[in-house]
Amino acid sequence: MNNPPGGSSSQDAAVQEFTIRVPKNVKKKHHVMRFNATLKVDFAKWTHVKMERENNIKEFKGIEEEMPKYGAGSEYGRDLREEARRKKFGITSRKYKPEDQPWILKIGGKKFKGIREGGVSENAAYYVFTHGVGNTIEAFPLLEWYNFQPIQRYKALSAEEAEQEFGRRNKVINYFSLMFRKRMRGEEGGDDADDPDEKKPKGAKAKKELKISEMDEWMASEDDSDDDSEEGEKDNDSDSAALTKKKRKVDDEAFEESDDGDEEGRERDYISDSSESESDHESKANKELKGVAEEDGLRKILTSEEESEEEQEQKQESEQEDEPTKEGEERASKLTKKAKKKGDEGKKESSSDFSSDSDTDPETSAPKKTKKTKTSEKNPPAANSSAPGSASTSRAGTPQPGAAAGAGGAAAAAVAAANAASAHAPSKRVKLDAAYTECGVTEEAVRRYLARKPMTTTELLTKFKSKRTGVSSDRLVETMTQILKRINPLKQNINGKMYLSINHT
Amino acid sequence: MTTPNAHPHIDRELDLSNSGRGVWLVKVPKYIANKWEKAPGNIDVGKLKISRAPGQKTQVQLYLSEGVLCLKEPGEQNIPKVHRLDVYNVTHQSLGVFSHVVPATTDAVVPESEKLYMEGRIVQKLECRPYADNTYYKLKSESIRKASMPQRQVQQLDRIVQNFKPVSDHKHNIDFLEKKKAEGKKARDDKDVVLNMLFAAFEKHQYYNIKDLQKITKQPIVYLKDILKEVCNYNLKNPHKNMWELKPEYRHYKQEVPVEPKPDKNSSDSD
Repeated sequence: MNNPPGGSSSQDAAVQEFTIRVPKNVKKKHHVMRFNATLKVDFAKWTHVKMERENNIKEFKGIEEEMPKYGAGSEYGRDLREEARRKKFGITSRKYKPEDQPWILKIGGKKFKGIREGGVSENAAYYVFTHGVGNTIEAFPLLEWYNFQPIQRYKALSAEEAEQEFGRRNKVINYFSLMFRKRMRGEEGGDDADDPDEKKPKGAKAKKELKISEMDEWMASEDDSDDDSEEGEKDNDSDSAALTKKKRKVDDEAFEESDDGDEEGRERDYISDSSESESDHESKANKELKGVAEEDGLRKILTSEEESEEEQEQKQESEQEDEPTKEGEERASKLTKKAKKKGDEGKKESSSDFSSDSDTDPETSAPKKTKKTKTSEKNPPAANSSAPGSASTSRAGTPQPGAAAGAGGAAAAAVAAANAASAHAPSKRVKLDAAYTECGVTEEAVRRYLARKPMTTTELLTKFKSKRTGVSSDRLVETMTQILKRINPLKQNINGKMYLSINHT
Repeated sequence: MTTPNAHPHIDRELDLSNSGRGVWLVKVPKYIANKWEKAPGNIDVGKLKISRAPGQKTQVQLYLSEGVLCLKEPGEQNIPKVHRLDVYNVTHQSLGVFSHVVPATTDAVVPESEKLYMEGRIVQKLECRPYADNTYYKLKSESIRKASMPQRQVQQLDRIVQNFKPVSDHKHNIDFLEKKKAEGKKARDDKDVVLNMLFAAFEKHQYYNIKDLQKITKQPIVYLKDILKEVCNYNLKNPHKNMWELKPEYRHYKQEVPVEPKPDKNSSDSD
């Protein structure tokens, strides 16, 4: 910094003298450029800077249509005539002065616009003192002040857009799902697959908001949870004794983990279409999302034998209460029909229970007896998992026996066989059975429902829930999943929902 | 809108050779600035004295030179000779000084391009303050008195002021008549000559008013109209209303006008 006085600052307590000159006939006109300090402009670091006046001639001329000045389409003396015409109306046009336009400063990629500031030199004059030769200072008057501001490269939001964005301020976005969706879209180019895709993330989102994170985790890491927590269940199938205990534990755990109690009311509303009771829009949305999530959960259960019991339980419960009376009536008629069906079905089931189980369940390749016990065990679980279906049966009367009895001899026989099988089984299994039958969900019942017509898991659960068996939905779902696992029904996707069915063979 | 106007919009390099230099920004009262403006460039207009006493604040003082003080019109007040300069730092903003050379608007064949220089960075601000002495008070009171004087004053008139006199024939009318007489009557030229003139005119522009054509060709308007009817169409509708343009067969503009208002064939003007 060679400040003017800085040159001879060595003497202390001394008086330095500089002579000031105001050089004349300098063609230069000095101006001030002002930057905000936050822009961190360092003049010394500038290397390649260009400046120009902004070209506003178009704005100045306004919307006046462009006429060719020359050649085709041009009119002789048009400008003059226009000017004369305007004058007639008392409009005197100001001339466009390019030297009055703001400066555009280009530093590398950055652009600044320097707008002249008025009023600065109204009551005082400004000079710039520069160090001249020797002890002289040259003073140049400063004519204009330009305030330089960076030019925005982006478009600002309009009022409406801003409002919209503001409304979104509290939304929590699941960035992972966002990215996932984007990727999917990129790959598939907007197929039907988009819908489920979109739904899933939503469900996940909703869950996150609801802080039912366990479920998310389950969904995401099916395998893990299978191996870890539900090991028990699988093992149950193969090993008989200790596993039942485990299972129960697991069940209990699952039950406790889910804070369904809170959600149940809503769920019921959702399923029974009485959602009007809840006026809150958001809660509705949540419900919807939840519903989707549940579906997902069930689907996953089926596909991956993963259990999101809580959800199902919720459904079951709500459904149980929804359809009790109807179901009863239906049941009656159904049961009569079923009785016939069961005649074959029940046989089928009972036979297939054992045989198909043995077929389908790799784990059940254990000796038949144990299998039977298993199946009987599983019946309840299966009933649970297929609870929608079997629940209805169990609801109609009380658990299996009644239903079976109502169903007819064949069914009864089947049940009896199952019971007998279970009788063979170790006491623990029996216990399990008891637990499952408690729920009123039997594999048999589930099979019946599935054989009649394809159903979604939700529907199945509804069937059982409507039977008012007083079983916690957790349990129901759990058993249902187990039963379904065992039955291993045909799965087919219709309208994005998974329908389960059993072939009559 | 003429050629010189094109220049300011050209990108120009900013001369950065002085960009690192620190300069002072000095705010001075108007009365000093006036004097400095009047002062010739070769004299000292003042002295800047910086006295640094140990343990004290640095004092900066401005002494105006006698030459400047003497520069005054009759009736002007004296201005104080000594001022102190308060020094401030530049905060919250970065200030720079740039200059541009305005090309002389004279008759240079190759017009000088406007040049831009970065003159430096303002490192300190100085404010020039007068000492409140007698001279200063006098100056101020005088300026206040002047400011309070009404700009318009009542004046009594003793006779009527006649600011408008009727004129029988205005001067420009006389001039015009004289010029017309000197030109004489417009003679009918050979038709080919007129046609050539017309085509030349239509090469420059597409549409002409008949008055303009008359001025260009200097033909009697009746004769001109006869010729125009042969080679031109008359536009009756609004874009280019009342204008003549060449018939399509005579045209060879480089780019045809896309939408040509179809001129009426029977554009017979009542003549």
